[in-house]
Amino acid sequence: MSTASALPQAALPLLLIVDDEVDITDTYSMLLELHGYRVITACHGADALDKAQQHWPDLVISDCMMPVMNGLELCAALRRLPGGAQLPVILCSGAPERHDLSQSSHNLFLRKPVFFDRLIDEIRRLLPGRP
Amino acid sequence: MNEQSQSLPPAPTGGRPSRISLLSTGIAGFDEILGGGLPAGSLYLIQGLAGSGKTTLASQIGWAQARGGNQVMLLTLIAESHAKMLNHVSNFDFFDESLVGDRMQMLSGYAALASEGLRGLLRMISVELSRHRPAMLIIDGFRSVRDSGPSDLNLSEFMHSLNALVFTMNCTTLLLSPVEGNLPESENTLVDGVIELSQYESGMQLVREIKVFKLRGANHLLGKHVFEINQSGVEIFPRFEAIATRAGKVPGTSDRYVSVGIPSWDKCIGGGVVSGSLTCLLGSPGVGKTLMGLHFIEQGLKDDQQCLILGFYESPERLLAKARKAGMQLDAHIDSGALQVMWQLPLEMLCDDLAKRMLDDIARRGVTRLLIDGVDGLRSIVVQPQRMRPFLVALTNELRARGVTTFITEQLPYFRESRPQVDPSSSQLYENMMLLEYVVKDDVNRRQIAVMKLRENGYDGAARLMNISDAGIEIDGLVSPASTPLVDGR
Repeated sequence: MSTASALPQAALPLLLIVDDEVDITDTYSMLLELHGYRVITACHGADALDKAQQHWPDLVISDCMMPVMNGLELCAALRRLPGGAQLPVILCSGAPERHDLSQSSHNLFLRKPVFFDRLIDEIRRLLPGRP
Repeated sequence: MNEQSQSLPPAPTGGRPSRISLLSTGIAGFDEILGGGLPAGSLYLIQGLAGSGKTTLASQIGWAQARGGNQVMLLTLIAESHAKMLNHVSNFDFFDESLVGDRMQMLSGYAALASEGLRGLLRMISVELSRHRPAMLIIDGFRSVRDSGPSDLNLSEFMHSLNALVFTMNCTTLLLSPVEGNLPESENTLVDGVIELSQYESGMQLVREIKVFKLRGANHLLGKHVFEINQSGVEIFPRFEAIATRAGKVPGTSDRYVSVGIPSWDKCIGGGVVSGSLTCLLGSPGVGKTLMGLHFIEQGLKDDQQCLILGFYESPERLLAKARKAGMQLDAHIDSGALQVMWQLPLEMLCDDLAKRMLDDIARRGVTRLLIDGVDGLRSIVVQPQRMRPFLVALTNELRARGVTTFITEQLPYFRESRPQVDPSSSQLYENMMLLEYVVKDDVNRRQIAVMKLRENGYDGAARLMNISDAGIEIDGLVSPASTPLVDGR
C-alpha cells in the first residue's frame, strides 16, 4: 500500500465516485484515501455534474444505472464541459447489456462487481505518475 | 476512445457457469454441503456455542488457503490469545508453523474496537486488507462487536460496511461467534451465509452437527450433517439421503439373471435374481443367511466379478473360516483384491461415513456383487430414528443405480409367535425377499427356505428343505404338510 501522507493535500489526485449505493461510494472512498487519493462522492449523475464543476476531479468513476441522471448521460455532459474531453471516465455496471455503450465516450468500462485490485490498477493506468 | 473491459471472476469448475467463483474449504465433505465451496469474496457467520468446533473449522479453512499460496489474516477481538490458539491448532495435521507470520498473519483488533468503536475497527480492517491483500479474513470473537454496545442502527451500518469492504477487496471473510439459532440480528441478516455448529448427546455418545442456515449464491444441501473432529481436523459427512436426493439418480432396468451360487436354489427361482436387484435374506439366527450370502459372493468371484462384503458382527476371519467349512475358498480372492471385507462393529460409527466408504470402494474397484451381512447393524448406527428409512431408501437406490446386485441379511427372532409379517417399508426396499426358518419335520429340527417376493421372475411360494453340509447349502424337496414351523420353542 502506498501512502501520500507527506504530500500536500492539494497535490493528491482527486477522484469523483458516483453511485447511488452508499456502501460502494463509502468503501471505495475509504480504500482509495488509504492509497493516497482525495475522494469526493455523488449519488447520481446530476449531483456528480455539479460537484465536477465545483472541484474538477482528475478522474471520474461512475455507475451506469442511477436515478435522475445515469452514468452515460453524465459522461456525455462532462464531455461538453470545457476541458471535459480530456477527463478520464470509468463507467461500471453489473448489467452492461442494458446500456448502449457503443455511443458513449467513456475511457473504460468495468463490469460489476469491480474488485479493488482491478480498480486501483486501472486508476493508476489512467493517471500515470500518481500514487 | 473507450475500452470494453470485464471484471469477471473465474467460473467455478463444473456445473452451470457462474459469475461467482467458489472457494474450496479444503475440508472433506464441506464443499459438497456448500454446493461446491464458499462463494468467494463474501461474508459468513460461523456460529456455535463454546467447544462446538468453530475455531478449528475456520483455522483449517484458513490453513488450507495459506497452503494453497493465498494470504490469510486472522483477526481476534476478545478471544483466546494468538499463542493459545496456535498451541491448540498445532495438534492438527493441517497446521503448518512455517506459514505463521508469512501467509498467515495474526492481528488483534480489540484495541481499535475499544478505543475508536466500530468505525475505528472498520478502518483498521480496511488498512490491513489494503496492506496484506488477504484472500481470506477470519475474525474470531466477533460477538465482541455487539458486546461493545453499539446501537442497532450503528451495528447494522457496520455490518453493511464490512460486507461491502470485504466484497470489494474480494476477501472471503469468516466471522466466528458463540451464539446459536437463526437470530433476527444484523450479524445474521447482513451476511451472505450463516453456518452453525452444534452438538448433542445420544446416550453416552456425543454427536456433532453442522447446518447451513443460508448461503447466498450457492446450491447448498439443506438440513443437518454430522461431523467429527479428529487428528486431521474437521471431517464432515454430508447426510447421505440429502446427497442422493440432489443427485436424483434413476436406476436402470435389467432382464439379465445372475446365479445366487446355489444351483439347486437357482433352479427353484427361475435361474437366479435380476442383475442389479436387492435381495433380503430374512431369517432366524444361525439358519444360514450369512452362508447363503457367501455362496452368492463366491459365485460372483467365479464369474470374475469384483465383490464386497460389509459385515458388522462376524469378523473377516470368522467369515472366511465359515466359507472354508462349507467348501468355499475365498481367501485367495482377498489376496488378489477381487474380494474386500469391510468389517466394523456397529458401535460409535457414522452411517454417512460408512455409506461413503462402501460406495467409494464400489466405484474404485467396479464392484458388482455386495453382501451386507446384518442390516440391523446398519440400522443401529443411524443415530436419529427418523433418518432410518430415508437413509436405507437412498442407499438401496444408489446401489440399484450403480447396478450392484446385493444380498442383505436381516435377522428374525429365534422363536416367533406367528408367521412373520413383512414390513411394507422393507418390501419397498427390496425386489426379492427370501425367508429362511427352522421347521420341525418328523420330530427333527430342519431348515427351510421360501420365496416371499421375487421381482420379474416366476416362482412358487412353497417352502423347501435347506440342508447345510461340508459342501455348503443344498436345496432339497418340498417341505411336507406334516412339517410345522418352529413356533415359540415348541
